Amino acid sequence: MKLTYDDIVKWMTEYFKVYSTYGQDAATADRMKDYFAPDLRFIPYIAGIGGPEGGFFSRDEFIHTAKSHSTWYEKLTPINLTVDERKKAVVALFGMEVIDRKTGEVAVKKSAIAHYELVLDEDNTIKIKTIRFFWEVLPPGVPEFYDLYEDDA
Amino acid sequence: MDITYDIIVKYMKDYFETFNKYGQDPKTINRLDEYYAPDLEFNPYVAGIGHTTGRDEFYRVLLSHPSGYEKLTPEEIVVDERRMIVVVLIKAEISDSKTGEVLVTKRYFVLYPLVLDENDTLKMKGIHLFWEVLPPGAMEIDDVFARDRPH
Repeated sequence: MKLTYDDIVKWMTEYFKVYSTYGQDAATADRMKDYFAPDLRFIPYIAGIGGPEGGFFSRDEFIHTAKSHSTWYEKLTPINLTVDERKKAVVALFGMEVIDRKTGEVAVKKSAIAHYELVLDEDNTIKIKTIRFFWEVLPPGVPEFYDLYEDDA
Repeated sequence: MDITYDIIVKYMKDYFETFNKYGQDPKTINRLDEYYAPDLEFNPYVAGIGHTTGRDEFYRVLLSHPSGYEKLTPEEIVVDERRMIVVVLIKAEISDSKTGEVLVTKRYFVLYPLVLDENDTLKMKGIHLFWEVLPPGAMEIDDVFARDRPH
């Protein structure tokens, strides 16, 4: 399979839908295995969630963490996909809403951007190998993503 | 003019070299006219940093911190030829202009939509900036640039 521009756009659009709908529920989070390589590296350029030396070092670690916050979930909405066919890379600028599962209330709303390096696995299907992640810096005093995570821990 | 992947990569590398050499000196800052569209939008996703419209307004921002020098080194360039968009992972080093001491090092991730102007040359239409969030207590860019503000 050759990774074309249109294939990548379709696949990434689907990825965001699947992550938001299934990727953070313990019963369905394993669907993310369709998108992540086993040795996925997640690099957050955000000290509060590990910084570039931290983050996650495998798909299982990512999935485990994504499904561990039971009281809220993230809804990610892609706004702009920048596709580099030559490098098999995508940058997504997206809206990020953290939503209370019980009330449906949006607790945190911000923009974020991520760089995804893609590979074809042994079955010739696309997988994400690396995610470099940045997010919008909100004004002091505005509730942050990790404030909620601490509440849920 | 056909804008190819390689042309865009070269253009972006030239841009960073020009920015570092000439982009923070009032005598030479207009060298950046070669890269910025007149209606350049600077859109930082960072609270406390102002959004600007027009390259002249952006130049005022670049020239507002003479005691601190910002060196930008592109580490990864992502090119979307079809939509004429580039995103760059940048190592930013902020140093003291007098001593040369590097005071802050952090990464930026910046999205640049490109256009062709009336002379068929590439220009940046926007600079959409995200940056690394450093640990609490670490010296920040604003700590350096604030030295140039009236107290």
